[in-house]
Amino acid sequence: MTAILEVDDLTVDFTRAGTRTAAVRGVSLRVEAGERVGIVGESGSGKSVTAQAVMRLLPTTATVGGSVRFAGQDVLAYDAAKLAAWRGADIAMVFQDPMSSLNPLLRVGTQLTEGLRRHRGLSKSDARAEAARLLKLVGIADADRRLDDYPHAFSGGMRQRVCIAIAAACTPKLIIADEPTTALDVTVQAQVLDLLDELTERYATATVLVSHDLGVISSFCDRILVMYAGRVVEAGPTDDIVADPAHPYTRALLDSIPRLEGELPRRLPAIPGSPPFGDVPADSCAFADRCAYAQPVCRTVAPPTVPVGPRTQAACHFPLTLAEEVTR
Amino acid sequence: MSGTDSAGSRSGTDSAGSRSSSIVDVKDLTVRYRRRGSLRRNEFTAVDGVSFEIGAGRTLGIAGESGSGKSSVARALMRVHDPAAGSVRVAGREVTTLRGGALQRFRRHMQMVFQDPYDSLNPRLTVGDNVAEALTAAGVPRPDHVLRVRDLFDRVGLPAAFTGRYPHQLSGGQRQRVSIARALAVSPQVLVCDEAVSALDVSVRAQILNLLKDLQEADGLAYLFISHDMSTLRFIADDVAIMYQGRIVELGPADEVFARPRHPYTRALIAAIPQPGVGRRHRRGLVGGEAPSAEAVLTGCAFAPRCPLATEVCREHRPLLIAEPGGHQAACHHADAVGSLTVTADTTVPHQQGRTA
Repeated sequence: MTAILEVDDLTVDFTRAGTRTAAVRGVSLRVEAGERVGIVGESGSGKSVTAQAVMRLLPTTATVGGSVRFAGQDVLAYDAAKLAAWRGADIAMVFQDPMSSLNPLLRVGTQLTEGLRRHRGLSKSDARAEAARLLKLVGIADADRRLDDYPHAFSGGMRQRVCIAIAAACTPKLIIADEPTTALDVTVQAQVLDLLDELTERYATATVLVSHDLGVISSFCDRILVMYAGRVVEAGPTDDIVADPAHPYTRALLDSIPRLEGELPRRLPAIPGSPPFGDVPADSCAFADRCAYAQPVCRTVAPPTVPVGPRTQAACHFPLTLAEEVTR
Repeated sequence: MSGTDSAGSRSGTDSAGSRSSSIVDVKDLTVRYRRRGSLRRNEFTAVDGVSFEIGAGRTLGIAGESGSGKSSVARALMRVHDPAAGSVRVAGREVTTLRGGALQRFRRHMQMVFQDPYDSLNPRLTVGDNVAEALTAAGVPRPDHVLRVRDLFDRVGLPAAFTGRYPHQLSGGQRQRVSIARALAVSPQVLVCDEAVSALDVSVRAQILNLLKDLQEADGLAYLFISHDMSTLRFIADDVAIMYQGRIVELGPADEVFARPRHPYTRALIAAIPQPGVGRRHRRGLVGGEAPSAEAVLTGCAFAPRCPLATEVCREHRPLLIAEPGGHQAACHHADAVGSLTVTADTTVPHQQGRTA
């Protein structure tokens, strides 16, 4: 298989008022053509910063290290002209709030045809016809007429559909969706996830879905990366991780979601404390203070990422999957 | 229609039916807002004839999507916005007619916790002073404040040393604990939680839900718990009300509503929640489209345009909320058919007019 995206040991530091804060501390990930990869984490875990670093959207206060390769090319070395040609054509992004990512002063049709004309070189009338086809594809009725509407005339779910249509316009090889359904109602969230699924299947577009919601991620993705304090603490196929999490953090995250079926505990298994904010010491496990399984070594040595199952990896000194094997 | 259904008699009789001990009793509550910028009388109805009860020490969960009117119910209960019609009785007293000092005294019985503690705490006061403000309002003499604040912090699981910090120095979960401490300062009997855990990280959310349960068990607090998240409601609520377009479309004991929903909208809400481990890429959307705007005027059932079960009668006659013997109420002409609704590719309703795929 060919990798569309290869991220190797990505680091992102922000410098503010002379102090450096590490937001991403060595993230590696690989996305194959047509694959659905999920990045799940809480606030401050570095999941959105990772996505923005791949898109080269970070402000100049950020220092990016490591490498990002898209279809074999070094993205971090792209100049402005190359970036403009790349974004929208080969890679596209869908953001959380469709109201702030659409231009309120331009008709939806104008925003949809912009990429088509620039990247695919379509004529004005061809672009308009194609834009109408795209709107229909994402489930917007009366597409021809709605091209002349402004974003405010659409509901929240419809706006997100427009954003997805814009992202899909030039059939990019990869769509990065950062919390695309968080601002939407649940029944609409379900529709939008179904739509992303459909596009992925139809055009073999790869998708990186970033979300805080393990339910959303696991219902959509083939593979998951769990991030905590700027690191990937566990990665592997969705089914393996959900069925048999190796990292205590992943296990705790899964346990803390109340289930819709079966008996409920009187108290939810909760993780004590809160996610770290800002800098974490480099020579320890960032989760140690909240971890039920922490040993002295967790506070003195940062755990390396090691295989913990046939297809999964985790950064933990005492992975749960291995512990169970020993006791068996 | 519902009286002929025998399954209802299996359910517990105590949960929704304990009328005598109810601390909150809402009847036909209606809330109207004036449309902004209009000179003529131009109002729309956000809440339309909603009735429910909450027993002491119990939790009523209200679910619904944005614009369903669930927050307007809370605002009307707290008298933040005056209801247009209906009655609200708290601990046996009618509160919709209270004014001035009487209204202030009433608010001691009922307090509110909001979604974003960063917006609801005063950023220029320490969190200790934020809580002490509530004590002043309750008429607690100043010398007692320090002890009472420490006591309240202890109850919500915050170290006493935190009283001197400012809201921005605390994490989201800690700030929400402060909001809860402030709400508890006046020893209320009812706590209204409007999306109180929605903005918190998943790992912190569970802590706050546990805390709310502990406080309820210790004090016999009653909760009105508003959330769009059905899985949270399944954990915290004894009874659940589902709102759509300003009306309650289903109300009943939580285990009943989740196991045997009698309104297609409830079924769709439950089906739409992605849960880890239930398999990938099944069709999630049971219904298409979105809720019509709160200002839309509809005849018949408001859910009919999106409903896979809708027939002619649904578009012409608004269904009434009908109770089964167990207290499980639903407003649906086809309530008995809801159980047969399954989420498969075939029943996925494409968006209203002509989705190509």
